[in-house]
Amino acid sequence: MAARIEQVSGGHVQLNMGTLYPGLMRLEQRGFVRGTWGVTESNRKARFYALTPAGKKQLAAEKREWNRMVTTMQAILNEPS
Amino acid sequence: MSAAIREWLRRLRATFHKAPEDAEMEEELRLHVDMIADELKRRGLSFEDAARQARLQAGGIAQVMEQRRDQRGLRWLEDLIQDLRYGVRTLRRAPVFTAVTIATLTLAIGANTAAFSLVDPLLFRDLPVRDPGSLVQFTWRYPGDPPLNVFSLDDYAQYRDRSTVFSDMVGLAPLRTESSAGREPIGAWMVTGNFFHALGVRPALGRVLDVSDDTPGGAPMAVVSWRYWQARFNGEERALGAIVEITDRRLPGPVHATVVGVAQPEFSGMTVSMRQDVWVSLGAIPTAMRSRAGVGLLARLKPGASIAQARAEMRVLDQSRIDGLAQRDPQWRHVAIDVTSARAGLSTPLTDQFGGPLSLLMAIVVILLLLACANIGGLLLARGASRQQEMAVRVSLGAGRLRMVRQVLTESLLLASIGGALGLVGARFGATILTRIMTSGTQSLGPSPRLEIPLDARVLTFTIGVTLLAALVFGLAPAIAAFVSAPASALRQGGGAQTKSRRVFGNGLVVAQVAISLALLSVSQLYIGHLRHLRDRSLGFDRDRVLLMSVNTSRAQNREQLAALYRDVVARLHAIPGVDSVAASGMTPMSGGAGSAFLRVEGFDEPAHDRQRVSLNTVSPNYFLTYGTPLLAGRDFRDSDMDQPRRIIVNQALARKYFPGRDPLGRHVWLENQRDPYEIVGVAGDAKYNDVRLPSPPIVYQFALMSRGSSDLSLRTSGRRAGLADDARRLVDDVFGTNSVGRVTTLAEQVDASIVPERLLATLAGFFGAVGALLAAIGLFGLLAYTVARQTKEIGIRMALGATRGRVSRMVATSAGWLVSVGFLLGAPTAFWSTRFAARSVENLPAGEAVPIASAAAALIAVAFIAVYVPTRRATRVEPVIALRAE
Repeated sequence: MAARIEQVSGGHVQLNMGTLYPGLMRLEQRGFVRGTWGVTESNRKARFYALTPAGKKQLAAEKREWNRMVTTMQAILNEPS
Repeated sequence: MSAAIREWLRRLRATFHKAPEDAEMEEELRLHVDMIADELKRRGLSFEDAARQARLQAGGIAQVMEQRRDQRGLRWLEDLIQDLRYGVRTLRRAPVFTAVTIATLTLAIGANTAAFSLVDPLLFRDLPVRDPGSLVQFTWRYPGDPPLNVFSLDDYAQYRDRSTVFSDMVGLAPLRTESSAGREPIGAWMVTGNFFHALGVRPALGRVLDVSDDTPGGAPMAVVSWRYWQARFNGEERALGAIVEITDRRLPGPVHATVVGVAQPEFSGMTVSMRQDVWVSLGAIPTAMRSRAGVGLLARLKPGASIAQARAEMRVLDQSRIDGLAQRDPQWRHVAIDVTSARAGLSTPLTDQFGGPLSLLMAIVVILLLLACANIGGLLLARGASRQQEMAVRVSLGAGRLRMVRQVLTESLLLASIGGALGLVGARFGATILTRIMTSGTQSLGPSPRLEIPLDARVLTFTIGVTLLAALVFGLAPAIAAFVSAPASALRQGGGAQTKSRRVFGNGLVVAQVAISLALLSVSQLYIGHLRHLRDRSLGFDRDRVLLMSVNTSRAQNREQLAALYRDVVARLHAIPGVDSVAASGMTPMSGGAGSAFLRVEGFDEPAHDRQRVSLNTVSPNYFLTYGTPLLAGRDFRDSDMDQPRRIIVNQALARKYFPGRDPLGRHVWLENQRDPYEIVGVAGDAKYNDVRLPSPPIVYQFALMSRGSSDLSLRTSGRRAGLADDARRLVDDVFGTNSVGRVTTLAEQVDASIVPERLLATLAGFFGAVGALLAAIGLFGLLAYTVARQTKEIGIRMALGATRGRVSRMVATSAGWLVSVGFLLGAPTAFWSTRFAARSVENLPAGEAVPIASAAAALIAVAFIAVYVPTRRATRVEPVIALRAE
């Protein structure tokens, strides 16, 4: 997961375990993700995290909020002074 | 929001279930590192390099575990639980220390809670009515009497209509109800119709009274209290329209009032200490009696009006009443109406009598709490010093300083909480005993006094607050000590020496304890001395072994019949073994009943503005013999005086005042409004009349075998024989008719009942003073024992170098002597000031005497000697060889 985030962000965001796991844990405690033990393609035991319905809703809300924020910021920053 | 709560709940749960998830977490992390390593291996790194690189990239597993653990549960709660477990273990390791500390705290917090739960409702708590702060009451005080709030209905109407500073004025009066068959007496009050509206009290059912209910001759209407509604009507609606019967001796017949409503649940009347079940409208008073009815007044200040303004205006309005009364009795010139706040309710005899003593008691227990805190703080500090090494080890192993402070404070809190919880339980008993003492002495006028001590939110809050505060105060010093503990030096010195600042602080605590307990003991000595003084001060009669009975004599139709009954009962009472003499009288000393009249004496011109009444009593022959009051001149009454009733005996005070330097025997005096004179046939010694605190007033004893209506019988007995009182009661009932004997008591009880506030203060102050001295002794003992323990090595060296045991014990005792001396030096002015303060709050208490302080100091020195003796002995038992080898 850390690798995937790193990849998507173009190497700008690097998460080590100290950041990733407490975050995951908080999300799990809030009921936004659920972790289950499973087996990877390489037949290795691992924990898989998936969004719960509440998590999806929260994600959508956060996205909306973020987009609003970005739009607002852009509007302000692009204002010719 | 809900997400945050869910997170919190999961963390809370995780705090208590820990082990399996931790293991899972660790496995997950390990797998994570393995996955990175696999990835790196795929890219061609060697096995070792990949593993190394993976660990670098992922960060330390231990750190992440710690971080995740913080996130998983509630860290502070886990720490708290850990600290508590540790604290319990520590306390269990020192059982004596723990027991003493908890006992001290239980006592101190319990005493505070008990005192508060009494003081709060009586003096501080606002009544549950609209804007209680603007309520005021009116009182006036005739010289020598307690303050009264009694006015005629005409006065009420006049003040209400003519005053300008009040928005409302109401009148209310307790009815003297009697129990009808099988029922408790009802606490009934007669109130003006605007009572509920003025107070802003709403009905829970039906309606409240209003002004239309005041119409003269109207049918009496009643509003019942919520509590009475529940008890008598089971909270049912059929209560409306029911009839409440109220019997008052002063009214010609029972009053039948119709219930029109139930007051809102919180409201239980305008006085805290009296039972209130029913409020009836003015219609309860027959029109013919209205002019004589007295009411207490309560008013609400208009917004912006001050009590001082109200007082000034009321003095003007009240002047014509005073002038009228002063024409007959010039003493009224000294009377002025007073206006005081009624936010905590109307004052009652109970609040008047106990307000001062209870406030003082509160002050005493607060001081006791301070003392307890200083004591425990000192003990903890001494213990903390011996735990320095333990602290040092923990700091060296990475414990944060604040974390150490938290742990020390948690231990203090643990101690305080146990003490607080036990104290709360103890306070319930204490407060019950206190109320029993307080209500034991009050003669019941109106509804019976009922003081309830609720365990409510305010008391609980107070106790919790006191507990926390105590924990903070006594935990502060050890906490600071924990914060500044320097591990290196503590470890190196092996707990041998103590820092200077800490020593000074510890000494300071002991000095403070000695000073505070000196003040506390002085105050208690003051009260005990005062009580002894009141008890010993020549009462003018022998208070022991006198049995008192109030008898209803209405069976006799006339004087002759009464005389016959009297002779019969006296003869038969004399026949009871153990009865030495019998007398009847109109009143008995300190009973609360009294009579007075102006006296005119030939050849004695009293200035008109200074006329004073003399006290009256009617007595039978042998009254003075029975009471042990000496007859100084003349003779006692005789049976034959029946035929010549205009003969009196006076007391010495009267003779001194009206016949200075002359022989009063055979002289004639006139009582107010009587045409025929009385002849003085005897002079009796001075005896207390109705107040032990006051000197004997001038008294006229008139002759009467027994008085009509009701009379008191006094029996002097020899020895205490169980059942004598019952025999006497049966016999009197036999003569005067069934149930004619009312109250049966002893003279000693009656006298004691009249000085309950003094007894209460003396008993409690004495107890707390003794506890305070004990605490100071424990503090001194603890400090010395600790000092000796720490100086063992030093003492060993000294003794090895030739110091004698005498020198060593002198060394220890001298340091103790210094502490006690400095404590006395600081304590003496404190004690002086506190005794003066304490004396001011109680009437007739001589102030500024050195005796209480001196006796307190003597007591403290005695206690200090014992506290010093044991550690000193231990110091002299030090074996040099062992002490030095201990290194």
